[in-house]
Amino acid sequence: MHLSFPSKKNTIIFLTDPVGFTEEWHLKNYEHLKKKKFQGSDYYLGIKEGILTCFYFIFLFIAIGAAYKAEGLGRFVMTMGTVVVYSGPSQLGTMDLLASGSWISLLVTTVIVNARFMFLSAALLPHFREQKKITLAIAFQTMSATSFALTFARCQRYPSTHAFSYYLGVCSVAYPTAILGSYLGASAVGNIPQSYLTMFRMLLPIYFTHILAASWPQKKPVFAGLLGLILAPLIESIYPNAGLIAGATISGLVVLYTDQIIKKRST
Amino acid sequence: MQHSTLLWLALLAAGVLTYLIRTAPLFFARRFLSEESIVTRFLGYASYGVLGGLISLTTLKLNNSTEYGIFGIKPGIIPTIVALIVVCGVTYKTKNILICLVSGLVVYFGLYRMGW
Repeated sequence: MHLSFPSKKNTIIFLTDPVGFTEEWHLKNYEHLKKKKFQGSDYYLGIKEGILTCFYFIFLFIAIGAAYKAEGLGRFVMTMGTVVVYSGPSQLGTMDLLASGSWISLLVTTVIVNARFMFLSAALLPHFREQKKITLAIAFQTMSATSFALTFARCQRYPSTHAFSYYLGVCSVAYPTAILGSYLGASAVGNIPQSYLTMFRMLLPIYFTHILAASWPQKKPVFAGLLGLILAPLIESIYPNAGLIAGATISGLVVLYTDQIIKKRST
Repeated sequence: MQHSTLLWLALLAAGVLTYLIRTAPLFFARRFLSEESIVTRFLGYASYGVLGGLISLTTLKLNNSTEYGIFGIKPGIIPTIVALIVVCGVTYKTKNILICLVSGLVVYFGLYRMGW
């Protein structure tokens, strides 16, 4: 069913809402909810939908923690690494630089690998417009691919969702789980067979696939994801370390351009 | 300065840099972004492009960093297959995710333990 909101130009398609709210409820509460600072029901929904993340995060960060320990870095270094950096791919990619003392390379690699967070934060900002800058500055420390993908997909499907409360709900399960996993991995490295740790590391691409697939049945995000999937390694092979951001930028532009053409033709 | 002190400083610097990247749009781009703007739509699509890129890059990195595989196939094929099963599970019925994931990992682990 199609419903048009007064404040939005585009048409929104409502799907089955897992909370059970009706389409009329969403329509009635859209403007009202957007003015609120916090919405408890959306916070708990974020926790509920973020719980699956814990399953991935605990194993992923155990593997990362164990890898840090194997490089000769202490458990507190690893745990603090997750607290301050909180980025699995970046932590995995820079641990040898950290262990070998290549500080400048470490910082440059961190900036390149984590540049993606700028896209994620910027894309979520319009959904958090009712919040103060200081609140967002604190909350953005827990920004990750997970908290972005779940919140953004939720807002696209159900525009009346209180995005910030939902985001906080997801982060409040994902962030502590990552810290706990790091500590456990760095503490129990001698007791975990290498084959298990390798298997845990295989969860990383599966995990990213899962959060991309969660945007189904919206075709444009899935198309953008597939484009990024193909372009990133191609660009990476020509310009090392630039594949992720360049691939994402090109895929974003291509999907946006295609979207514009389709809209023009339909009008 | 001692190595451990430098290590902590480097870790802290990495954290601060990552934090600045995360919050940069908040300080420089907030006024230009609205839910309907073309920039926001571009950023939304580009973010999904980031996710796609992460899938392929982490899979390829796995291929380069692990030393064993199944039937001589690089180990990155395992998460690729499991990821495809997960996609089918998610797109068909969300409840199937865990079943698909666990069964994929069990199959892999079974094969690996059997010496394949």
